Amino acid sequence: MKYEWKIIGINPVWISALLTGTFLIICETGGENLHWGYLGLEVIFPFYMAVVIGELCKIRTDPMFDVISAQGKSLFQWILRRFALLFCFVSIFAVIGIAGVTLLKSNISVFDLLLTFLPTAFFLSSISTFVSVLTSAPHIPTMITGVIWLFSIMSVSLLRFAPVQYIYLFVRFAGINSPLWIANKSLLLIIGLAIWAGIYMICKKRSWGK
Amino acid sequence: MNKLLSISKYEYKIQIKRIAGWILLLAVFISSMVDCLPTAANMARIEFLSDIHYYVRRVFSFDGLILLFGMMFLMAGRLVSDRKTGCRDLFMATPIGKGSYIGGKSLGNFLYVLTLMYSLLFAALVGFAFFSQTETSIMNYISAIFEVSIYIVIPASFFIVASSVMLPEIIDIRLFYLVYSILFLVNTFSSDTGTATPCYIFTHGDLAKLIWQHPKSPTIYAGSAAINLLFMLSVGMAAIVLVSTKRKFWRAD
Repeated sequence: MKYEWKIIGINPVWISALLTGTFLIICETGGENLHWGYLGLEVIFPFYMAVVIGELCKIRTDPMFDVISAQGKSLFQWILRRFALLFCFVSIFAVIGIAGVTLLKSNISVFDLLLTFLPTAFFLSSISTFVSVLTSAPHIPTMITGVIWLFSIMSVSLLRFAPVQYIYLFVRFAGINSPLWIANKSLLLIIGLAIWAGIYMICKKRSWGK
Repeated sequence: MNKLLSISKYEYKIQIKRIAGWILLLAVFISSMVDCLPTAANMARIEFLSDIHYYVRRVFSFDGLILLFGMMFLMAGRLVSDRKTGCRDLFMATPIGKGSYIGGKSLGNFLYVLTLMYSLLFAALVGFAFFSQTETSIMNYISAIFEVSIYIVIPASFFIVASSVMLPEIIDIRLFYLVYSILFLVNTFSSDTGTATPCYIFTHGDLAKLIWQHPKSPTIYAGSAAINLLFMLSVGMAAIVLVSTKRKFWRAD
């Protein structure tokens, strides 16, 4: 973990702090037309998590990957630790954001925002990690996650189809109420776990694509 | 000039061979066909799809935006990766100047983006020609291509290319991704209204309204459109100038 911190460096700390601070300022000054809590914690922070993991949770793009793959005790554990460290790191700033939003807007609960943030962030960052395992080209995990993210935002109209409501990434921001959003977030968690099962299988077989 | 063109040629060759760009184009094309083709089902949803000007504007306001967004990641760090892999040191050991290097990188990536954007445009127009129930003259096709090029494709491509190739050399690439992703996010939230739109709306702001105007919002804000265009061109130029004037970017001549 000590070496992982050295690899990550200081930049993500101030970028995350800048994002959280800017978000809270906009949340306070941005008016009531938008639900800032859901916009920040369901749309922006989960994508930021995916960017951080796509860019910093290097797997195939790590210059030492071949050595770790050939001689490491457990490749999966190495990936999982790297992922967990970055996930917790961004989550700390997200929790600060949640605390700030709940202080600024009295009608939102911490638990509600946590349930909104965690499954979405886990799903997007799991996709990022999965792509990092599949490709050795830099920036591709971030690109794929980014395109899924932007496409999801732009396709709110697809919510007119009932099945889409179960897998749509930003149901809370789109105004879908309970119990559907709970089913949606549970499904995102399950899909995220399935992606991790896929990562485990790939690591076990050591079957790297080109 | 020859050196600039040589660098841009090789940059273009490197980029055009990347399979990720073509997969992205295919995904965006499928999405645009499902959403925008003037089929009976889509026409029942959106009545203006038989108008070619509305059609191209819709394709580029939504699917073109996603394509540009994806390409931003493919071009970001082209200068940074040259520095990290030592390629720039090799360039600096030759008589190539800073201007040729920056110009070549920018031009190569700009041509790459235009290739993919125009591939999307022509594929979308072929789809329109096959599925449209109404007769559309050749002149209408030409004017639609011309207008979408002037008002969206060329300025937005320049903006994204200059920003994504240059800015990661100045700021942390994750900060760049974050800022530009929020900019794209803001663009997706903007809706077709009769009021003037801010300058950062670059694919369906007032500039894009010059291609097609909603009948319920007939006013065109020429000043707002000009500011949108100015925003894209000036941010792109500023990104190039920032890198050109950066100390230690190139050898001291």
